[in-house]
Amino acid sequence: MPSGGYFVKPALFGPVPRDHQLACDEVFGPVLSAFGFKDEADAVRLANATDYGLVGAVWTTDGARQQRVSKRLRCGQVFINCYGAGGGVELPFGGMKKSGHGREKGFIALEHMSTTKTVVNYHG
Amino acid sequence: MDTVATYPTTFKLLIDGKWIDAAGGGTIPVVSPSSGQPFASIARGQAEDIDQAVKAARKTLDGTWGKLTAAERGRIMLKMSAIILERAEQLAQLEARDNGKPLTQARADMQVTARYFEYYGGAVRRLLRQACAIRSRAT
Repeated sequence: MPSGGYFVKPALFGPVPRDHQLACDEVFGPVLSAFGFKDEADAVRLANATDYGLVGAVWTTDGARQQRVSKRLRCGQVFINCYGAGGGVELPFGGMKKSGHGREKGFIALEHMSTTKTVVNYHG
Repeated sequence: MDTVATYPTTFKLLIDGKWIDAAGGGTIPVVSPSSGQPFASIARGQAEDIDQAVKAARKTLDGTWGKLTAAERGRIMLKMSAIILERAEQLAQLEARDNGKPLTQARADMQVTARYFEYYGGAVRRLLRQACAIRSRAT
């Protein structure tokens, strides 16, 4: 650790209990808990077992699994074989569950600044 | 290491196109979280400054800005993007100092900031209304 400045030592935890605060809450610092999982269903269950759902990722060369897991993850963004919360300006960003309301970025964000009006026209 | 950018040390309020002091003349020191040292000051805006700003924004929305076409407004946003890119290094250094974040991250932020103006400046010309045909009268 450098002596000058303000640094926090990173910490990596092994498999803490799945309902532990470290497993369910986001620590806003360099703290990570890593888990093993039995199979695909178990991994999805583990990923969805929090009150939050902002970003998830799946790493696999199995294309069908990429699609299945992306669909089942309860989160606003899914990255496949990469990771980068937020993504580009073009990609809608926002979460499910307690990870916020609405979406920013992309065309969808313009919805926050507009009101939808439906005009129905009867053509006879 | 790039040259260290220079900045004004006093930042005022930009209302109705003019840089003005806050009502009451108060200021707030801007402290760098890395050093704990103040490096600039910003105007301490009051409720009446907000009223002035809202009034000015409303006036221009009903006037010059509001009369521009979407394409013209988009073009201004594209110009903003170009200016941000031109001054990206200066803005990044200011952001890193103000926020306490690494310079590499602040530099990336400025590229993204420019992208936002570019993206939404271009988007105005691509917004379409949606139509869908439904059977018979709406029921």
